[in-house]
Amino acid sequence: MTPSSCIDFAFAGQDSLFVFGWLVERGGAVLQGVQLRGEAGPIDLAGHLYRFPRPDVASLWAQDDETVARDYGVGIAVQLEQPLRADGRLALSFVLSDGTSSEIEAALSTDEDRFAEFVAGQADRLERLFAALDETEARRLRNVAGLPDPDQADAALGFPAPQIDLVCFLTATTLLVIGHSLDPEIEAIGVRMRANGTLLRFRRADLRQPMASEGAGCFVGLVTLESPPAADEELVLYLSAKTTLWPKPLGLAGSTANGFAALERHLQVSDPNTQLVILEEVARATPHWQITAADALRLGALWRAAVHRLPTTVDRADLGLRLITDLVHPVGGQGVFLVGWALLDRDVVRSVSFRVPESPEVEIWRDWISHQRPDVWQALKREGAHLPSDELGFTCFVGQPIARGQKSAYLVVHCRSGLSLRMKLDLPAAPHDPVETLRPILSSFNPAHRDLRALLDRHIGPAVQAAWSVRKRPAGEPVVAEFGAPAANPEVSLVIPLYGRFDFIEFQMTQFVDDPFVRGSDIIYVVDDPAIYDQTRQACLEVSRFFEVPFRLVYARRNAGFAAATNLGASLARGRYILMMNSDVMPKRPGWLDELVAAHRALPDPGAVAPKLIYEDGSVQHAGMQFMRMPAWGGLWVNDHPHKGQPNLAAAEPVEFLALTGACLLLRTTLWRELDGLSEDYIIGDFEDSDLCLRILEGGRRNWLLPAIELYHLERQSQDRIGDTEWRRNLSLYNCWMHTRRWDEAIARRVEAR
Amino acid sequence: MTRILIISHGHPDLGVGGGEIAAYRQCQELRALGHEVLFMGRAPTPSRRGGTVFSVCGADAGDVLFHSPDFDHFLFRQPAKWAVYKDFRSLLERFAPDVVHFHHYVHLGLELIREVRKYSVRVPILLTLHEYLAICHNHGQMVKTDGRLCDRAGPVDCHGCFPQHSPEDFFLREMFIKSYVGLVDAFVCPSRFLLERYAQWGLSRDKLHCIENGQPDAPAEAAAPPADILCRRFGFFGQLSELKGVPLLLQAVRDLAEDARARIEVDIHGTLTHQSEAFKERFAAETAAVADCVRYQGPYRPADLPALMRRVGWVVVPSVWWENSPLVIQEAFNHGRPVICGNIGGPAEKVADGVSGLHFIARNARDLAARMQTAADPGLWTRLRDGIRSPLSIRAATETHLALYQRLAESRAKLEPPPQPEPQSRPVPAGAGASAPAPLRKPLGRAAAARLALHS
Repeated sequence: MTPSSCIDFAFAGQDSLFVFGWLVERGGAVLQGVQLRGEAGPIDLAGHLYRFPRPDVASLWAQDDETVARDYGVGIAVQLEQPLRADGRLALSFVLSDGTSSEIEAALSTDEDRFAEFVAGQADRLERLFAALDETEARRLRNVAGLPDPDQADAALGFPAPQIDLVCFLTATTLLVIGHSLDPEIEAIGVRMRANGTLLRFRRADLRQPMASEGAGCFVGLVTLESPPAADEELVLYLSAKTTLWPKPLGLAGSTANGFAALERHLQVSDPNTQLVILEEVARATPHWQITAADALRLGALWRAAVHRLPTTVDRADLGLRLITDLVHPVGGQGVFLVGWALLDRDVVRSVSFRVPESPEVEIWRDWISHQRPDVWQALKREGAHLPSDELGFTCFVGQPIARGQKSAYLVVHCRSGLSLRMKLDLPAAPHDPVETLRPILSSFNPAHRDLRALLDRHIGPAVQAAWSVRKRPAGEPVVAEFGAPAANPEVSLVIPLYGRFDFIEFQMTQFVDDPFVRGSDIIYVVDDPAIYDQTRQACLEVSRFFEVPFRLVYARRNAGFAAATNLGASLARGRYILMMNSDVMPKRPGWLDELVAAHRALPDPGAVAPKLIYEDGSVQHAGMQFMRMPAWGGLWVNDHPHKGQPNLAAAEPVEFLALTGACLLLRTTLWRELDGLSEDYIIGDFEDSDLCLRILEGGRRNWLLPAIELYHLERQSQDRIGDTEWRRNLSLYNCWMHTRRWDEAIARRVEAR
Repeated sequence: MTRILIISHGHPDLGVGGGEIAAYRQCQELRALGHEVLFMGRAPTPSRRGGTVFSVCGADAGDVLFHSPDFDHFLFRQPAKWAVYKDFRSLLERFAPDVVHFHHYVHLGLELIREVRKYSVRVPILLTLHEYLAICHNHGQMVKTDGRLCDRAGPVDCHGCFPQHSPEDFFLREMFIKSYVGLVDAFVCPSRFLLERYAQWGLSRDKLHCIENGQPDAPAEAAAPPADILCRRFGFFGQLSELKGVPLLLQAVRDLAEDARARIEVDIHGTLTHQSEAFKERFAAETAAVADCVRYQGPYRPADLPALMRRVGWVVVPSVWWENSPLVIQEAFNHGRPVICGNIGGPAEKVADGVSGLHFIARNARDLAARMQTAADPGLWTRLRDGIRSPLSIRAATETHLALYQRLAESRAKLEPPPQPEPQSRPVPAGAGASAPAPLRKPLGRAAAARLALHS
């Protein structure tokens, strides 16, 4: 098969030829030689061919399995007998092991400025190539390329000198130095100029083969000058290693202007992990206000491009490192919720961070909560991996604000050796529906986790809170439709949210219509479900004409949740009392509502009053609520319904309770407004009622159950329509956590006192 | 003269069913007595004219059809509420009935009952109950979907029969239906058994009245075969369905010994129209197996019934459900024919065992076979024929109804329209939103009561 190839740059010196390019072989054939084609016949250049890694090319051809590991770079440096004819064209034949050859032509430059520009950042390769040239020509070209002459200082060191790959100004006073050392024994390289700079050692995949071993240290450093250098100033960089300090004369004249351009060129041949080491260091040392807006944009673009090319896992079995994410879930710009598994040896790994391009990194390993992953454990066990623990899974909420449009973030594993490894996290667009944002978070954990409270306190709780806090507010005013002539001066406003089912309106109407007190009340249905609004409105037109019971239908233009829907309805209340009522609560007989109001008037310090509620089979659904610690939920307080499901025993006198159900709860409108209604921090419908009751108690009033008044409650007939019961259960757990966090002390005190 | 609105779920012109026939007979009888009666039946077709649910039919186009093609058969709810509050209401206002008597609500909508009450608190509302529809979703038969007889409905039990409806659905169904039937002043039950079932379900006993369906005058005695022939002839009349017990009857005949079969004849009369193909095939095969003594005679016209009944000595009513008051029993008695029926429900109540007929253990083919063998005895036959008491005539049934109408109208006449809801809180300061005056209702009740009083 024909190989793919390209000449990036070809340069004719006085009597030398330089070629930089790449070639990707196909079908098993490998490059064996190269010939220069010309009038005098082909000249064999096989001995002058040099291959080197080209990660940029490798990533381009990454669909081929083996490509990443191989060296596609092609470098040719040859001293010629006589100058090439400067007709501006170069013709080469690449000879392959299967006997075929591939012909390629390219422009041949003689412009020394272009040569210097191109080879900036390629110093390491150039040194290797210069070895093939005459000393005179090598020195001349070194000079052209702005490279220090090794003979002058490096040769005297007695060990392989660290090499400078790139030196450029990023700002008028910030100098970037990137280089590498071939001597694995050099532990530290210092750079001195007129001011102190720092250097960071890292490993560069592009230098790994064949130029340097894995152990070879590369470095990136930024040197801050006290003042910008004068135009004619000769800059000298002093390298120090192994207690030796020696000067590196820098040919920097005129290169201060386009430091980021030079950096960009240098990065082109680096692997993304290396690019990010450099970019992170650049960003650390050059705050945005010091660089131009254009350079800042360029830096950001380079950063995002590098992240884009990162692998999506860290998989270094040789170091015993694995890091895989199963869920990367952006939470409304407030952070990212991560679930995955990791094999991280504490002797090797120092920290794990989360990072978004152009933002600081956030340590996550310290805080994440582990859990068992029997599936992973068994798979790794089969592979023979060393497993320090069976808790390989992790859950983590990173509460780092993320800008809109940010498509990816990454994780950094910092090893104790100085090596850092990065993996990309693709950030999907956040769903519009807050419930869709919540669902994966709530589906991600097992409530039987041994450290449930910490998991909730540190990750699940904040993530769900963040998701819920950014839910969209409705556009525009709620829609209020008035059916029938409103009752004059109503005593009670019944506030009844509707979700999923609206046929309950007609059922309730059959029970309201023959009750004069209810007919004269202010009935407010609140549609909390955009999917049913139009049908509901249509049905209400007919229902109101037929039953002739006046009521209002309020629509918030969204699914706001039980609490918000109730609050909206209550905000429109005209009555002196508010009755919170579920749509699946059905009166047994007329008179119940006047009796509730009369009881409220008669009882001492009345806060809220509630009737007894019974199931359709006649058993008890609600006869007051009591707080109970739930051991299986880490000791959170749950709302227990005493005697639920048991036979309904005879009615009795009013009984005081700490909490009553919100399915049917009466209180004064003034108290409702004073307390600002229901808390909207609970999601979908849970614990708002006990939260309200506790606030009533804290205000010094008392809550009363009226067992003599009974209504039916077909509990959760509408809620069950949400389906998917596992995440619903975990949502209850979240609400329970929220409730306990808020009321732990007050509940404990009051339960104790009883 | 009283103005009476009779409402039925069908009209005899559109098809024959027991309930519609009973309703229409009552209507004709009331008209014959000089009352002004409007008969409103339901038509299954969509309304032929836009903007109204009504059309007319019957002699002199004097009956009204209420077109109701779609219906909620779980709740007996009329989906087109405007048909109730607009069209039906305008009919009420135009005809201004003194009494409204429903013979059914199925296909029409329970809402009609409330609309009558909205129209006037003084008009008595009556409802004749034909089966157990309000209690039982399984076609009102109180037979479980697995075939067992059912003694009592309840949300959980009913959910057991219909898993697609939750217990809560059945709770709401009962609540919904009761919210409407609770407005009825009197329920007319053709059998004591049915009355008890509805009392058990929760209807007030004070409102339940047992009035048998009236029968036309007995036909003049015509020539019939002698008793020793008649006592060996058995007849079945009615729908040929599983519930009516036709397969049970055929099984009983098969259980008879050859020589016993040789001494009897069984005539089966009725239609297979509404039966499944599988049932028709099974019926054909089972009839063929006992062709030596069973003859399928096909469908019959009501007018031919007297002649067909005269041919047989016994009428067999082998129904496998409770029944209410099967018309065929009254017809048999009207023709002087004793009845063999199961020992449950309406038939057991209507037929006195050993007096006007024989009971077998319901749903038990062998026991039915034994009764048929016993029956082939001219002495027994003659004794039971003489034990028959002639059934209630249409005239007598109608007069019982009229007396009931009058009692109800008198007690209703005392009622005032319900007050409009009064302001519940302290009155708002003057000018801060005075409420509109309550709409006036047409006061009809007193005049109607006066007319009823004059008639009696």
